[in-house]
Order: sequence, then C-alpha cells, then structure tokens
Amino acid sequence: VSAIRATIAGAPIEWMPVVMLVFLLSWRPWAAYAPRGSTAAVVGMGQTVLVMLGLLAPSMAHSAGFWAAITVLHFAWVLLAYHAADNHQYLIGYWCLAICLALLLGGDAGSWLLTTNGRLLIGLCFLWAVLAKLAARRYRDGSMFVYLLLTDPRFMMLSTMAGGASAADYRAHAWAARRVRTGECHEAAAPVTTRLQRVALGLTWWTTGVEVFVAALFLAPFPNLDGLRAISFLAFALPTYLLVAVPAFGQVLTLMLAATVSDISMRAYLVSAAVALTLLTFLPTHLMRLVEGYHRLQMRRRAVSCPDEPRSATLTRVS
Amino acid sequence: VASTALALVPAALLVAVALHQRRRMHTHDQNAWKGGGFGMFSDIHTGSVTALLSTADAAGVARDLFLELPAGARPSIVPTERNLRSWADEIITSRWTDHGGRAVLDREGDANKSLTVRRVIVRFARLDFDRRTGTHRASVHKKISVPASDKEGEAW
Repeated sequence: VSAIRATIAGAPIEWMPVVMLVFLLSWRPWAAYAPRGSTAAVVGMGQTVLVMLGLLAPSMAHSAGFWAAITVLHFAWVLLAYHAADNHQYLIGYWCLAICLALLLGGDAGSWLLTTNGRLLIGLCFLWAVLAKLAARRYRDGSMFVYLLLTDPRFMMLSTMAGGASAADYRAHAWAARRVRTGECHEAAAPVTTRLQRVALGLTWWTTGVEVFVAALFLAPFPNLDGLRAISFLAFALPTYLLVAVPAFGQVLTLMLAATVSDISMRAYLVSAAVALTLLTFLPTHLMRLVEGYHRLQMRRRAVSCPDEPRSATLTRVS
Repeated sequence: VASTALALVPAALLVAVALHQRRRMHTHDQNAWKGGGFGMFSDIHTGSVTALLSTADAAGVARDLFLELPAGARPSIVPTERNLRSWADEIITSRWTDHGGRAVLDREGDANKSLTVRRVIVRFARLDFDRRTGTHRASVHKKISVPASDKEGEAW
C-alpha cells in the first residue's frame, strides 16, 4: 500500500494514465473476442502494442493523442465484438476517452475533468443498471433471480446454502429450460420452494436499493461525500464480486472511484483493492466447483437409494 | 465553458449508447446483458436460436437434424433477420453428420457419413420464466426458412 501511495500521491491526471495502462495490459479486454485472422484480433493486437509502448515511454502515456488512439481502437473492437463485449468494456472506453480529454485540457482543469467523470460515469452506470432492472417485469417480480439461482452455476452456492436448493432441483430446471429452448415444448415447469423465492426477492431488493444509493451519491453535486461514496460502493462491490467473478468490472469502477477521492490514503487503499480483486477472482470460482461437487455426490447417493425415481418436471407438449 | 462541455462528452456518450441499446432491445429483441445498456442481471437471457436441418445422405435418404446455437453467439445476442440468415447460410455451406438426431460438424470429411443440407429453418424464440409456478416458457418470434439451392429463402 505504501508503494502504491507514493505512486498516486499527485493529481489524478499525473498517475491515472500509467495506472490505467497497467490495468489495460492485465485485463486485455479485447481478448474476450479475437477469432484468429479476424479484424477484431488485429485491432486487439494493435491495442496491446500501443499499451506496451505507453508503458515503456511515460511521456507518450501522458499525451492526449496517445489516449485518443487507445480510445478509437477500443471502440473499434467494441463495434466488431458487439455481441461479445460486456458493459464494462464500454465503461473502459468511456474512461479512456475521459483520460484523453483530461490530458487535452491539462493541469488542474484536466484533473477536475477526470474527477468529475469518475463520479459521473459511476453514477450513470449504476443509474442505468437500476433503470434496466426496474423496467424488466421478470426482475421486479423476483423471477430473474429465481431463474439465476436455479440455472446459473455462479449462484449455486447461494441457492444451495441459503435457498436450500438440491441437485434434483437444479437438474429439473436445467431439463425444463433445455426442453423449451430447443422447441421440444412450449412450456415446462419444475418445483421452486418458498424459501428460494424469499432469497431471490431479498437479492432483488437489496441489489436495487444499494444501486440506487450508489447512483444517488455519485450523481449528487455535493462536495465532501468521498467517505460515503466509498462505503456505498463497497457495500455493493464486496458481496457482488465475492459471488460473481467479473473482476474487470469491479476494477475499472474502483479505479474511477480512486480518481474521485482527495484523501491519498483512501486512494491508495482503493487502488490496492483493485489489485486484490484479481487475486480474489479464484474464490467464487472455487466455491462454485465445491458446490458442484457436493451436488454430484447428492445425485449419486440419490441414484443408489431411489433408482426408479421419476423426474420432477411436467411438460406441455407442442400441439 | 469549454472544459465543462468537454467534461460531459464521455457521460453523454454513455447515455446515447445506453438509449440506443434500449431501443434495439425493443426493435431487434436484443439481449439486455450486452450492448452498453448496463442491463446485466436485469433479466434472464431471453433468446434462444435453433435450427432444423433437412438433409440427405449419399444414398438420398432424407434426415431431419437439430442444431442449437450457443447462447453467446452473435445471432443469439442480436437476433436480427440478417444475423439469423447469415447463420443459415453458414449451416448450408458447412458439412454435417448425424449424432443421434443432432447435427455435428463433419471434420473428418468422410463421404459416407457426410450429409447434404437441402433446407434450413432457423428459429428465434423468446424465453420467459415465472418464479411462482417455476414455469419456463418459449414463444417463437422469428422463423426463417432458407433452401440450399436458393439462399434468398422465405421469412414468416
């Protein structure tokens, strides 16, 4: 932390370009979609080379033209990988553009621009996330989280430990979802316990509440909210990123947050937290594998004790 | 004034892209999780793209095969008619074998096993889920039929 503290003691415009390049090289966001021989792969390779050049020549990393090139290449990749690019890839692009504009202005005005954009982009990202959630009927009535808890392996730990879901529930929903997906039938049902529905509703309204709180604090034009903003962000980030392994999203948000705080110690802790998120990625993945193993064991035990047990889902056949 | 205007450029771009994504969700059935609208974890993955291949083997015996597109593929995320048709064309120009009623890419090029595709029906279905009843539902929203001899095809 002390080494990081020394690096980021200056104004955001002085340290953010280099810190962002280090993170860009570690994320390589363009690796998410780079089929061999495609234009997307060539654009991604161009970005890698440019980022490495920027790290080797710090004067280049502090030029607006360099960041304009990074931004253009990044958005070119996003366009080519439109179906594969996650929302945080867009956020990375907006942040690269903000760094470019900050360097164009330079000095205190540049740092002000970077700080303002850190707040605005985090606030708008959470605001849109809340609006998208509230606009979706399946989110509002809790169906979205019940669906994820019963079909997405990343939520298996939560659905097993808190929701009491069994391996048979997982199998029944995977089977029902597959049947309707493949057109074998129009609808298929599998059991959902009241306990699991309660967990899903809890997740639905906790997520909405915390995201509204983060959006409001970051978009509120009041000074001296650094502490509250950091706390609200941590209240969102800790449970989210311990459960779902998307470290790059957490890292870009944490870096943007670090650019907005004036206290150097807090800034250093935030940048350290961004580094730590990479190391923490293994936790949700390994917990998920542990629960998958537990479910497999449950299924084997059940197969031995009740070999003729029928599946617990009903189907409506295509007429 | 100039610096304030510059400061708003990234935020304005974020809002413009997010609005565009919301519009595409309604006009093109685009997946809520992708496209810069920050709609991840706002809905289930609502689309499923499948294909029914009418094929014939070397002896001319007809066989219908089923194929499901991976959830992350372009036509699954952005199921425009153009993307669905492009997948149908890709299917027609590839070589397939029968694997228990499912179409599998013929990588070995064995003429005895290889099947000729005569027609492809690509289907996009909207998915739904109700937590109270635990019911998974699908309703077909787009269906494109492309004959191998005439890639113009028909769309319903």
